[in-house]
Amino acid sequence: MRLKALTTQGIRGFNAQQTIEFSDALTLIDGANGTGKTSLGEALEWLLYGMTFKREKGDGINKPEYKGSYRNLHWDGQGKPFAEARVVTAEGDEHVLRRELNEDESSQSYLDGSACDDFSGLGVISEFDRPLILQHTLQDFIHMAPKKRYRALSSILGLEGLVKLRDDVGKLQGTAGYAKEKPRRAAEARTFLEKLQKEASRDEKAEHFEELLRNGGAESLSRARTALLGFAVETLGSDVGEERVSGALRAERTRQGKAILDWEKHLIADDVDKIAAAAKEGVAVAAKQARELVGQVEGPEDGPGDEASEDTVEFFKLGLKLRAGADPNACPFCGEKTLTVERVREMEQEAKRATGVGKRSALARTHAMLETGIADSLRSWMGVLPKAPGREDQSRLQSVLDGSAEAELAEFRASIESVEEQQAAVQAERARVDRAVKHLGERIQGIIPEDDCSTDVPGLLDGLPSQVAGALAVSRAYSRAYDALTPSVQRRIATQHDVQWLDFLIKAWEGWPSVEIGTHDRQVEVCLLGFRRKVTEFIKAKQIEILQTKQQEIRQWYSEMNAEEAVGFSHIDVATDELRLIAESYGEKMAAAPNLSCSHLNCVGLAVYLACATRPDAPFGFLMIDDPVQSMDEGHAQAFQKNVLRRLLRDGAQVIVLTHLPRFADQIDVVCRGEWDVHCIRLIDYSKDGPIIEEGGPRLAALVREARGNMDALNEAYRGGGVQCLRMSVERFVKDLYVRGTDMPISRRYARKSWRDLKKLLRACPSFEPSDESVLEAIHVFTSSHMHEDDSVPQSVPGSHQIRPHVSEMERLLEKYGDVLGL
Amino acid sequence: MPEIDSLLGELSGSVTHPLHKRLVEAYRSGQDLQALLAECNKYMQEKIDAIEGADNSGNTGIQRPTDD
Repeated sequence: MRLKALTTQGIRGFNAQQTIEFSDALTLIDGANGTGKTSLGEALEWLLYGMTFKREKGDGINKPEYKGSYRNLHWDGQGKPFAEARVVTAEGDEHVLRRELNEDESSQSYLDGSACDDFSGLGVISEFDRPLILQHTLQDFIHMAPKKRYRALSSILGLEGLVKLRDDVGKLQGTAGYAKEKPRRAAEARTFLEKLQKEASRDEKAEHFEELLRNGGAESLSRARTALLGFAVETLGSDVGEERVSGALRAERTRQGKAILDWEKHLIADDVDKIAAAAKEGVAVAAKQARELVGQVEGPEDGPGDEASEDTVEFFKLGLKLRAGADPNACPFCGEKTLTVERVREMEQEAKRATGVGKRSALARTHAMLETGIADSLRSWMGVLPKAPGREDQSRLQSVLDGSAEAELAEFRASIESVEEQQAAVQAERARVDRAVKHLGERIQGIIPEDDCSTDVPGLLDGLPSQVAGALAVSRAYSRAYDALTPSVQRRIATQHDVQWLDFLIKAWEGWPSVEIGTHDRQVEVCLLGFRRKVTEFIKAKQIEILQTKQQEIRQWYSEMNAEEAVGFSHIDVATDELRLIAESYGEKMAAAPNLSCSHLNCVGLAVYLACATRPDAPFGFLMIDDPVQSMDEGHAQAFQKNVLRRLLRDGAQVIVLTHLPRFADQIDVVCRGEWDVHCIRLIDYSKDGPIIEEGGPRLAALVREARGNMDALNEAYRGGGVQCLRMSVERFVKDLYVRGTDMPISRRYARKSWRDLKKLLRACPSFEPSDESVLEAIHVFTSSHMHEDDSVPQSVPGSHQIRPHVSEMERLLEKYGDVLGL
Repeated sequence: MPEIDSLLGELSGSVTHPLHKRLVEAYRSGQDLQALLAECNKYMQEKIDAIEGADNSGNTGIQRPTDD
């Protein structure tokens, strides 16, 4: 795409509508600072992308400060501010690109009058892939974070589409992407699959099945289904055919649901002998403790408690309490004046000693320990016996056996009865012992008189070991009957686990479509993950591939501006997501951005943009370069115009150069004139309406034209201007002829423009005929006599008849040397 | 979009998930996240229809899941 013209109004520095036409080869736009050059670049940038890097950067710094800055400050025109470009594609098709600015700073783009989202149809996709090398963005690339630099270079290498695809796939993978937006059925199926897999992982039998589900893939899924069918056949005990699997599983589930019996829990304890031994030993120890305790309880009382009479003891057993604040001469309980307080206190002490409170506490502690020991022993005794099936389980058992193993069942039932008798005996014995122990405790507390004989705890305990042995014998008999019945039972009963397994099979079989859908859903997610990786790898490979070529080109462009130097840019390092610019100093590598001079970095920035903008598949055939030689010394600037610019033009690029240096524009004009179509535009000033634009061809021809235009003017000021132009045309002629004839720049020392200096230049021009020297000298002498020292205003203004011959001579020379001068 | 064409060419030459190529094609036409998302959903819906369709035909004997 090449740029034919740009029209803008109300955008950036442009207020009134202005149109600038561009040469198909080289357009030179020069103007002092603040005349609107950068506005021109920004207007084009905004037109193409709806934003400018300058604004984007500014918004990042202080949004309110930059707000409204796309619109010209003085804009109050009709309609909307806009920028519009006439372009022609490589195929020769002409298009009009237009963007209008809305009040809220959003914008609407139009292609050939029709509204459009962007200009991607013409290849305008990424703001990084741009035909603009603007002054303020030249070093942006250099000072970008490596990741942003990666994105920018990917874009300007033509990989932006891929980078965006990769980023979009990344978003697709995120929780707000496919996971959230997928079809509801897929989400349900996925949940079903995850749950089924979890259930399968709980059962050893389904371990492989779970693995197949986890693997996914058509083959794994097919094998998983075969495995599931195998489970069904195994569980059902016969091959029922796929079409009947579901029904058969459900029927079996119903049958087994009714046959659930936890047979195992009725087994006697594995260590029943140990339990019996522990019970016997516990009982024996308890009997010994009980015997000692009873001895202590029945033994002689300690202390002086004998002094207390029974009445006294009985008196305090009543629990009477002293009255607070009682009259010392009255009874402390009833207030009657019968006992003194002192006497009652004495009586109380005597009563306490008589009931043996201290001794009783010790006996109570021993009794408590005995009680615990007995309880443990009796529990062990009970543990010798199995948890025989209750009435309900026996009834279910009978139902499950359904008439089979009758003898074994009868034997088992008999053993259950023995167990139950034993359990009843244990309970009865336990009750007796508990009662006796309780009585003993009450006796210790003094609640029961000491002559009560119902506390023969040791006697009761002595009889228990033989009863424990009896319980063990019953338990063994039960176990034999249990074992005899077990094979018949196990063939028929169902466990909770069996039923759960059937539930699992039914769920998996009937929900197989969900398994398949869930697996596809999972594969989509895996696919996205793999896809992103693949795109990333592809981008990297492409980058490396392109950079291998581009690296060379970037180096070449850089070298066009920098001859072999010991310090300068070296190469670009490519990492997965980063780009590092590497410089070199006397053979040592270093990071470019922090170490190179501003001029070198400008050259790197230019080289990168140039290498990318000139790639064969770049969408733009034009390149706008804003103040490219800023911060460059004379040598670098010369190199830019001689090497870079001419190479671009030779390669067929349309180039627009903006510069604040008229001399630089003139030099380019002189160098390129003739070989390419050069269009010179001068921004001579700036007003509220925008840049004041002066268009014209080569300066030399313009000067002579202006001299002729003014020589006949009656107004002396105009004629004076004509003389001034004539004088300038002589200098311009000599210098242009020298530059074009020798391909050498003109040294600054010729800036004074004395005829002696100009003559030296003229004589160095190989194509200049010496006979014409006197003609030029005559014009120079004529104009000098009418000029002030500063060349600005003629001292005295000659008449038109005096000026005309010199203008004609100048025109003759232009005609004669037109080919050399490129006019 | 030559780079997308290039990726598509690369994908065609290697064994990948069928969705990969479809995503690239979708991206080429829509060039945004929504285009990709729509393609994923379309792909998934096709799978659902194929599976549910087979199931509804009654040939497999498999019933609808009764829970979850």
